[in-house]
Amino acid sequence: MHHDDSEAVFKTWLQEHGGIVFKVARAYTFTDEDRKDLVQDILLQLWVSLPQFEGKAKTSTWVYRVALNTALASRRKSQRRKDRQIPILEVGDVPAVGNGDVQRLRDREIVEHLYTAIRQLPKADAALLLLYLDDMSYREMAEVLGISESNVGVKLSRVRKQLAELMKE
Amino acid sequence: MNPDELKKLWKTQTSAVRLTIDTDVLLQLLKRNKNHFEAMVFWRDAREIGVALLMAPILLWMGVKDHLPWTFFLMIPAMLGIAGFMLTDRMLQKRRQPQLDNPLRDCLERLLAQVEHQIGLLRNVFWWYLLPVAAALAAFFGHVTWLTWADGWRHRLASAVIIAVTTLIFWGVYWLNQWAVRRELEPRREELRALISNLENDNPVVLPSGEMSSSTD
Repeated sequence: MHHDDSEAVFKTWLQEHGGIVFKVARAYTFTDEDRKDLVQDILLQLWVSLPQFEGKAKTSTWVYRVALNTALASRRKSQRRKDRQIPILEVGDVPAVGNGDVQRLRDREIVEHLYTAIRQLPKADAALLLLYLDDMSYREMAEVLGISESNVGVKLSRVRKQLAELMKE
Repeated sequence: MNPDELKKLWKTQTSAVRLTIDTDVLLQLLKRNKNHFEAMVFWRDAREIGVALLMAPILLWMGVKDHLPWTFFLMIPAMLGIAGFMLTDRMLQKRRQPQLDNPLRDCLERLLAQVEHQIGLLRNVFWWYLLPVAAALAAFFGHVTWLTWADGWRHRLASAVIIAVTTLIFWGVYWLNQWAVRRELEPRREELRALISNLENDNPVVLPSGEMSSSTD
């Protein structure tokens, strides 16, 4: 891939799949600082891995792979790397305005509760749940996680039950 | 709320996520961070291997300058051997680096193999690092002690003190390596094993840390 092409592809991916990076970072961290740090690590890995992308998998699947691998492979340390942290990166939810805000705020609370539940799950189960919530097929989930589709099915049914329990709390 | 409703809500909510990024500035910074990371890895390797390599000419120069006994020069092949071993190991390990765009399980298995390799290296630090240097040093000290035996008990005492201090330093290096294994690498290995087991099996168990995991054990 030509260097300029890489930059253009990366920019497009950020527009299209930035949400995946954000979701994965939010699911695997407890503080804003850690979240920004992980977002940065994932973006760096995406940039470094970009030349290896052959287009065999869907872009979203590939982005998920890199994001989840980075989140699970890295060990978050208490000391920050503020000197190398990207200052122009801001992640957050669009503020609710206008009518219907009460419902939106309630929905947002539920999503926040959902993130809290995801963080309580084993990391591999959390990965599966993120893929499930993003409506991926069993085949895609198996592709990202490197397990069989039947295993995905068995695990998913357990994780869904577990999630339902956690959401009741 | 059932899982399907949650899924629907998740999609609508997460589509409202805002990522404020100046992509041009971001790219500049990513390139800088990539260079920084590569430089960091290069200098780490250069420092560890370079010190062993640099010691060879320094020892040669010291030995020739001070007309030291021939046993002193045994340190040179010991240092070169260590540098060669580290260099070969680094090159082999570079080829086995986990690829972060591989499926999660492959990536975790490679990471686990890497951690296990590190544990093996540090556990056996005596054989590949300490023993060659210690054997060369022992030969040199033994030789010097034998040559100066007739010079009286002060020389023998000095030799004994030097040998004791050197042994202590070697023991310290060995202990530090084993401590690093226990403190850093073994917990990491257990964490990776739990993650892989969680992916492979489907009977949830509770880890001592309180985190839930899955295992058939």
